[in-house]
Amino acid sequence: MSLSPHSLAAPPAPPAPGEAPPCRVLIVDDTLTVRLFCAQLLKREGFGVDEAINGLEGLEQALQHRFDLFVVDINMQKMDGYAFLAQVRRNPDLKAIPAVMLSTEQGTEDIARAYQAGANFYLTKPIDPVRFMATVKLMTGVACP
Amino acid sequence: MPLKSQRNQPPSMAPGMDGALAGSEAAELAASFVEESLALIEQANAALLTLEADPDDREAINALFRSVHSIKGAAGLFDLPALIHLVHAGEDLLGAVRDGKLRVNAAMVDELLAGLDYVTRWIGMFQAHGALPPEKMDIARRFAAAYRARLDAIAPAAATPGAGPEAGPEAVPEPGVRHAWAEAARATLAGEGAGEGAPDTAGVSVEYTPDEGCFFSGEDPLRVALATPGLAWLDIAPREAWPERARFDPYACNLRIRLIACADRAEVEHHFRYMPESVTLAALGPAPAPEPESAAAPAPAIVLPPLAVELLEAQRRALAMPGRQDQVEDIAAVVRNIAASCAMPCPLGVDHADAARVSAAIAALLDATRAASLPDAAAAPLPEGGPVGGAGGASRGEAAERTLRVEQGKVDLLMNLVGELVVAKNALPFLARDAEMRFNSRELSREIKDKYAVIDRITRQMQNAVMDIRMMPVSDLFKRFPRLVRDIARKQDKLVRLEIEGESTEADKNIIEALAEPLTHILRNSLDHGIETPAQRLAHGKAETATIRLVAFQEGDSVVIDVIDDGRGIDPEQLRIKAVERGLIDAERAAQLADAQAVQLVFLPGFSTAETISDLSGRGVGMDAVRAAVERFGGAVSLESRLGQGVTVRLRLPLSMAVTRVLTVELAGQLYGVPMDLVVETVRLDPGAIRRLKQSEAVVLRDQVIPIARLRRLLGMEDVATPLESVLILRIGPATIGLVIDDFGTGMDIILKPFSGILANMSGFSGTAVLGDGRVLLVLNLKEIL
Repeated sequence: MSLSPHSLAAPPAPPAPGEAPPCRVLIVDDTLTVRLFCAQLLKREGFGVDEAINGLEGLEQALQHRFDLFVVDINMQKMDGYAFLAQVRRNPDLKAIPAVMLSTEQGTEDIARAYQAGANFYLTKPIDPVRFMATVKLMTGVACP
Repeated sequence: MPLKSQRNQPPSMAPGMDGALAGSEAAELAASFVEESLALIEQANAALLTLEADPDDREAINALFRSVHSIKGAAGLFDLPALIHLVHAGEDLLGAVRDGKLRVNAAMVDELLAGLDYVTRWIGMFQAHGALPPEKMDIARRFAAAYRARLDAIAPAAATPGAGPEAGPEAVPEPGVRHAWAEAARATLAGEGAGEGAPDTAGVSVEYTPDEGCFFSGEDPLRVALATPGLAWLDIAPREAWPERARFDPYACNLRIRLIACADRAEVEHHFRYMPESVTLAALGPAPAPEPESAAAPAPAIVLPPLAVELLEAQRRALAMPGRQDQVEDIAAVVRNIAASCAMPCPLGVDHADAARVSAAIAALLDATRAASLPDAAAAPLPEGGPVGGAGGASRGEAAERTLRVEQGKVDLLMNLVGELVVAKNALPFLARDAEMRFNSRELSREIKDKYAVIDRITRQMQNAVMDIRMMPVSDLFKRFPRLVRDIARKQDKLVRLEIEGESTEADKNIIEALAEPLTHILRNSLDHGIETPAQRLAHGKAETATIRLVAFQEGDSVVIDVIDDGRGIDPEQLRIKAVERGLIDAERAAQLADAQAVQLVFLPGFSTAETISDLSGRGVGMDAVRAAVERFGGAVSLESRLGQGVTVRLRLPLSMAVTRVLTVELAGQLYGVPMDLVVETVRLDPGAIRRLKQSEAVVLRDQVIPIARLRRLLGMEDVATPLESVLILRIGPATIGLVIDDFGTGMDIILKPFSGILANMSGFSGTAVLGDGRVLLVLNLKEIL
């Protein structure tokens, strides 16, 4: 039984310059443009952002740092989003970290599969910046105006 | 509360993105999108061709689908509805291919390639102008219709709602349509006395019936409705009575949304442009007699649930998934975080969480958050998902490539600096000589030479390392050719297979780029003139399908690229006749030419061998253009023909062009440079060994007769008699030649600076270089001189 202390209540204060970001998000997506877009949105709100281009690399990074949220694409080479989440949920150190799945897949089956694999939410691309940021804040416990 | 439209932001971003990014961020994003999409299109192109050759290649199907899918995903960030429309239709078609419902054939590949071409063009325009051409939507619709026709052909009955091919993404409502309910609503608005909100000027009424499956396609009807520009009145109601609890499907949209907007019709149309099938628009005229209809609308029935409710319901859904009840920490974390984020007390303790408690907490939060009651989703039947996706993961064994993207300018700068360093270090041997000669310190001289050796080694390594950064595999260049060959072959009804070998061979980026045009030209020539029609080939006892091989390999300091076809070859006799006809050569000389030499006539400027000039391999631009392009980069081209069996064209280019190695030669006390790659050997000969044959001279060296030229004469200087003649044996193109000079110098790395200004037209020299001791070295262009 291990709970991530990060995901507990205390809402992080707005980021002060020079301070470590209150929340750290890992973006796992093979599309550079999408990663860049998410990173831009997150960084301007003071989130720390790391990127990985597939599930395998994502897992590697997830094990090296503490993250508060995973933003995961489905369709990737080497290890897809489902497999990544399945690994995360199986890992005692990672299993408590929430995950948003991000995909253009629109079928009922894809969404069901995402939730089954371990996603906590499903956002469809193209990413709506307002919705995306609101989701991230809600899921990481950052005060949502 | 009439909302103001916010479409005054940079037009390139998609609606809803307005203001989400600063201008510079948007620009960065757009640049990244352009670059990435072009790369993805290239991948898709390649995969399509692979697929055409082998329709069962799973790898290619997946790669193709993934590329197109990624393009669509990234394009969605920008205001490119036409592009997305086209790509989306393509993706649907490819999805059917992936799922084995459709097989790829040549015509389909044609269509898909053509679509990709448009996307490429549009991305170029988006990059240049930030917008697509006006006819974009027509084009996109045409392609989408073509793609969907293929889909409909396999499943005529299963036309999915919302994928109607005719309905373009732009809603074009009939002008006369009126929504009967609108006037009533308007009366209500006026009756409320909400003076400022009432649409007493022009307004638009919108009836929006979201597709039943819209939640799965990323459509968020409530959000869209609420964000309508100039929204003045909104009514949401179920379109059919809610079913009983047991049969209720929380994922099917059963809403009918009516709204009135005080805004320009065009603006409202624009707002709803992604869901034209589900929206009707009508003008709100200057009130005719209201026809109070049954739709004396029930007051807005649903208070909009915030994202938090949605998220909580998602947690409930996740929790209900088979296999997730045992591991609920992440769900518990989300629930706690949502509560924290909304500053609500969390009913879930920190200590322990099991499925039941998390579920109870979600319910409690939902009850507290929710203002109006939605039918309870908890009891909803959950769709069966596939097995947990663990298996298909680690597929290909290739190591993860960590790359760094660097602007080319930075590498070029580094390259130049290293080049300067290479030259600067050349000063040390001069210094060593000075130390010995002028200051009489042999010891210092030796020390300097030792240090020089060290610096020399390090600079060399550095130079190699930097050059390595600039090295690109020729595959980057070759990958465009399968498409080229395929298209031309199809156009000419020829059957051609392109075989590529050695695509991992590397060369400097500039060289690779310089090769593109000549290679394209050679391939076109080969397809146009070399390859016969299938009938002709069969008649000659050849295989119906011709083969063109594109082979790259490294040889010494050069990269060699061969284009080998098995076509009809070049008829030397015909070439002789043509050359004489065109006055490029006189009949007597033409007759003297050996066949192998006659074939080289194609390199003469203005030579074209085809009886009819096709639209493909240029007009008036022949192999001479190829030769010029290759030689500009210090390369050489040669051609070998076997009549009836095909042609081999060989391009030889230096691996890198920043630093040139030259041999310095002395002439009348002056130093000149000769490109080292031309030098075969240096010999000193007794003057008697050089025989005179009429006007020319030759020497027999190891049983080979080598013609001799004298550099002094070539440069217009007087001959001098020397006890031993210093002769450079050079290989220039296919010829070997001996060049008499005064004396040999040493080999040296230089940065060749081409002449500029008035000197740019000077022939005989390819440029200058500054030596370590400050002297200027003239580098000879021997191909021209000889």
